[in-house]
Amino acid sequence: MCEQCDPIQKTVSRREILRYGAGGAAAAAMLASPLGRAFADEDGRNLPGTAEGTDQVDKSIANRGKAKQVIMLFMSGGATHLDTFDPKPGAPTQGDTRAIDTAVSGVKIAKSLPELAKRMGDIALIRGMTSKEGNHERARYLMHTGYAPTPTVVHAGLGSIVSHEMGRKEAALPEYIAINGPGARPGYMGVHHAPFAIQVRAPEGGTDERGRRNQRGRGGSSAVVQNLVLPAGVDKARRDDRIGFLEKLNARFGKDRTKGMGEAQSAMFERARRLMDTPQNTAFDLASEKPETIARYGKTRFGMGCLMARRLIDEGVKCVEVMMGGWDTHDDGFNKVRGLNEQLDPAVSALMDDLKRSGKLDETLIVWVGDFGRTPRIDTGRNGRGHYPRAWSAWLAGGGVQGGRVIGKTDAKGETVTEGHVKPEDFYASVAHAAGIDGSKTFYTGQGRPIQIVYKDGRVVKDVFA
Amino acid sequence: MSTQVHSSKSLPRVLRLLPTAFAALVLVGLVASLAGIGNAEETTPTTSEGWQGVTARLDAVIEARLAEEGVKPAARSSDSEFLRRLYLDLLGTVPTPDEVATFTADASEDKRAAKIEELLKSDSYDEHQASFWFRTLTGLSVHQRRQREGQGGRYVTGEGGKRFHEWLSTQVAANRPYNEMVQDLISASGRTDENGATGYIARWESNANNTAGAVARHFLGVQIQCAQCHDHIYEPDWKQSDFRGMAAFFATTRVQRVPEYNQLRRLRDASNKKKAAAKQAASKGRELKRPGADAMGEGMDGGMEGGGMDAGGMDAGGMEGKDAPATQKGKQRGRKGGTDYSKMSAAELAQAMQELRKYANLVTVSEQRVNPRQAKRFMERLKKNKNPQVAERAQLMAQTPKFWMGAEAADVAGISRRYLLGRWVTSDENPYFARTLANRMWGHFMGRGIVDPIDDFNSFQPPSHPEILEILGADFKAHGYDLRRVHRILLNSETYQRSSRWEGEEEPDALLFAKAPVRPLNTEQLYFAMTRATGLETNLNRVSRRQQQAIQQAIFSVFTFVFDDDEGKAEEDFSGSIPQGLFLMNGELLQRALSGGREMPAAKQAKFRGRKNRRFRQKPPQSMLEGLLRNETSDAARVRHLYLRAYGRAPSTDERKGAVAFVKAQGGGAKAYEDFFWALLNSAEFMTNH
Repeated sequence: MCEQCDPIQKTVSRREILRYGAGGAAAAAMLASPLGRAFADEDGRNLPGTAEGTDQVDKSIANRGKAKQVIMLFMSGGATHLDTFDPKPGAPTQGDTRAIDTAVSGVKIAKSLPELAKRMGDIALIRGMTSKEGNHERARYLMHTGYAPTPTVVHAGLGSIVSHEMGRKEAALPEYIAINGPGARPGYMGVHHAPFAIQVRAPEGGTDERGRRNQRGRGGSSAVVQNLVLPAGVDKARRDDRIGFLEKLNARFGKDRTKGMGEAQSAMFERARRLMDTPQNTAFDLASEKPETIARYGKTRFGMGCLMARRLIDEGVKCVEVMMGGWDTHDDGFNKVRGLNEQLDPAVSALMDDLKRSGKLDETLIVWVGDFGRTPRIDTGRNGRGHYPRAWSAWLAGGGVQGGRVIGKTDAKGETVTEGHVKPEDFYASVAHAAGIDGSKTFYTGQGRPIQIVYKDGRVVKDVFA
Repeated sequence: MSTQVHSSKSLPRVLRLLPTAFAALVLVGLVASLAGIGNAEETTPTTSEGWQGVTARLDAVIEARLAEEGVKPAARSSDSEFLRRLYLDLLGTVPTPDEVATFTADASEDKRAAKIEELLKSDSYDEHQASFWFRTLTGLSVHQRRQREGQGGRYVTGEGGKRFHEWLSTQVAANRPYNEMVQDLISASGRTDENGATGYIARWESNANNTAGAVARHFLGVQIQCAQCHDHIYEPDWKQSDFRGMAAFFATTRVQRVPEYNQLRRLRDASNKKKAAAKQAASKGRELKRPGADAMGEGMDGGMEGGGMDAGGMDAGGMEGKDAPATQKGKQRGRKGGTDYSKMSAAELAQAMQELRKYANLVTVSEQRVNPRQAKRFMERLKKNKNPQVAERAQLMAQTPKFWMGAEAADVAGISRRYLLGRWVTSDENPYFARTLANRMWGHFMGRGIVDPIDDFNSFQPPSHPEILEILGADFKAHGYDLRRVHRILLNSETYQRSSRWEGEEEPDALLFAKAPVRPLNTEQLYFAMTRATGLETNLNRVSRRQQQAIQQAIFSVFTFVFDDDEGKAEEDFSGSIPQGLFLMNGELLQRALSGGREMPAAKQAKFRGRKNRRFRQKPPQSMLEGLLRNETSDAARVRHLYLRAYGRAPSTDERKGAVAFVKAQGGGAKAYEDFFWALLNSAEFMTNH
């Protein structure tokens, strides 16, 4: 198995096409240079990696492409499967966590997730997740891209894929917004599909995932989007005068020199200006939300992240990622996980309810996933669990996903997947399927290396959909 | 500083190129035995051709090709155009208005060559070249504080990275022969805080495959990773076994946390336990159970939990808690010391952790020592290990190392595999070494390699001018691998000194080198050019280090962005993202730098209540623009000065008139100049090297 450079059989590499085709060298040189990339993808479609490939997706699987928007809830640090969605009551590995029944008969989840238990009918729970990366950094990359990290290529993250494949050129808001985390890099999808990172804080008096309270006046800037407001003394007219004069300078420079740089810059200012001026940017301001709504989501940082995600989805943003930290529960794990569950439970439940109420749930795919699972064996010295990629849980909801399902199974101790193995690439194939993205579509990196959106061994998990 | 200096004379004694059958697997310790092998004799260059001759020959090759294609090259650059380009390429910043004025006024014939010599001797040359090598070798910027997701590099981001940069800087300052420098990079052992040269190997975190790929890319100019998992698709001669032969050189290399790290880890455990106990006691009966705060905060998590032991990701799948031998030693030492951390108070623990914090990302690079008699049994056991990474390492250990497209290298008692590889890579007989450097340097100054991408020699892309690589490579070899000489040769060439302007209809093919390229500034250049042009640089010298860093970070956080592939290129360039646009348009930093000298209105100040911003406000740097408006009264003179600052040239009459008209239309005061200078700094002419 090779994840470095899948040979696409009988496909001539882009490098060869360019090298032997007419005017090849110049085109290759342009595409290979950062400058080339900066403007080659200006229209948001014509990217450094020129796409080709045929739709090889199994169309017989139901509900393909129902999802028009995606919300990714990323549990950073690695959520323990035993203490969230795959409890093993009575097992020696279970520790303090108790299980409760859910809306789906025979399916139990952790007692500290009572609201999600009621909503299991909408969730396709995958208990057969299995991966190979036990290091946070590498695992986060894997679970954001579906590819293991390799030194020679940066794969595109889910948000960038969605932005590239489903995004609208005319959108004023960025199509991939990452809340409270860096998101994943766009790789060969190019800069216009990079995550637009924003920070959302807990409401006053609320807490973040680590239990730190938000006290008035403490900490850094409360701005959600950095630099969105004009600086003091500069009004719109002045800003436009500046840009107007800048355009003149660039036109002059471009007269006998490469035009690309000036054009890329104009495009950048245009996009920034559009974001500043659009009335849609009020979505970033949570101040207009009623206290009851905030209470429903929970007065927590993650709760506000989910609320923000809903607002952005309402504005049409294609992919919103909300990161929830604190899951690296090596020490004092059971108390910590209970606390995290108490934050997770209302926030995600409220998000699902709101989307359902507005009729958007059916077209919005919710992806709940993290780095990996956690060691079933309890570290008694520290009363927590270590990293465990061999068997863990993730789930999908909305967007045409068949809820009330449990896919895959772990053994009595939660140590090994006994049936229904789902590898990261299968997970990604399924997510692509839900969003109607052709996972077999091939891109070429600047170096001419072919990469499929979904790693070629990935298979759609049929039970998620039918 | 390195102590390993060797001449090529001793080469035959160490390179025993034996067929596999005789390759007994003897794994040995490294450093101690080196003294007897190398000797410090210097090789003197045999040819005495001056650099001018080489420069002329290179120009002749380029011109012959241009004539053949019927393309008339661009005119020679103007003095100001040349000067700005030279500063950006050699020092990573733009010249000051005074420097521009002095240089353009100088009437002497050889002023360009003299300026090149002057800059080659300057301190900022050492600094900037060290940064260049840092970027090239690690794929990361030396100014970058945080590692990138999925890209590794944690061991060259903190103290270890600083030492690596210092080491590179020392090499550049001493004009250390490149072959010796590379030998050190490949074979260095020791702690990253003691021997800076170890930063290179440490960066690859004891992953033999990645290290081999990096060494091949950086010093042999080939992308061999594609042969890692199967025979190469497009290169029939590159077999998977060739890749594994290269990777085997690094199979015995260990990159392990320093012992202090384990102490830090145990301190943290003790501290966490203490906190958890305290919290449990306190929170009894409280309605909201909060998840516990981690003792070290979020920043620590990645480092502490991620690669607990051996950095190669050994903690995957149930391997956790099994410390590597060196780690255990560290532990025992700790216990012998008799410190019982559980008896320390929370404050004492915090204090102790604070002191040890800098060790968090320090590592020791060493060679794995295996008793020859036990080696075989050891290997058998390892191969059965469930952890694929451990098994992979064992297989590579058992593999006979093989030089790329060359002979096999048997293990030699007392000499590390890496040392053998270093000797082969840097030997005069190596066909790849000198040409790779020649191509890299040509690409660096001319905007495009003779083979491009720079480190991707393969049969699909023949060099555009093979003679260039031959001439430059041979001269590099003959003159003791002198990097400054290579710079001198290239910078003095007509090819380098052409204008970037092109009058014709269509731009010529870049591989003809008919004109100078237009390249976006990288993040480092942008930072230094921006702080110099705005005058922040002079003010920065007066503000605290922390303030400087805050400003630096503000720029780096917005502009540092990797384009797509290949970490070897580290393209942290202008990319045209929305956050960049917002930063340039509305960012407080640029606003402050531009300030014509008024205070922010109170309403606005409230918006910038962040801690960092508050620090800025307490001691606002006096602005350059304010001073200019006070000292210079005519609009023409002011416009001229700002042109010199941003573009390194005076405006043409047209430009001056246009600028003055704009300034007048904007009201003519401080605000008008802020607008004008803003446009200059955001224009393509400022943001590119041309």
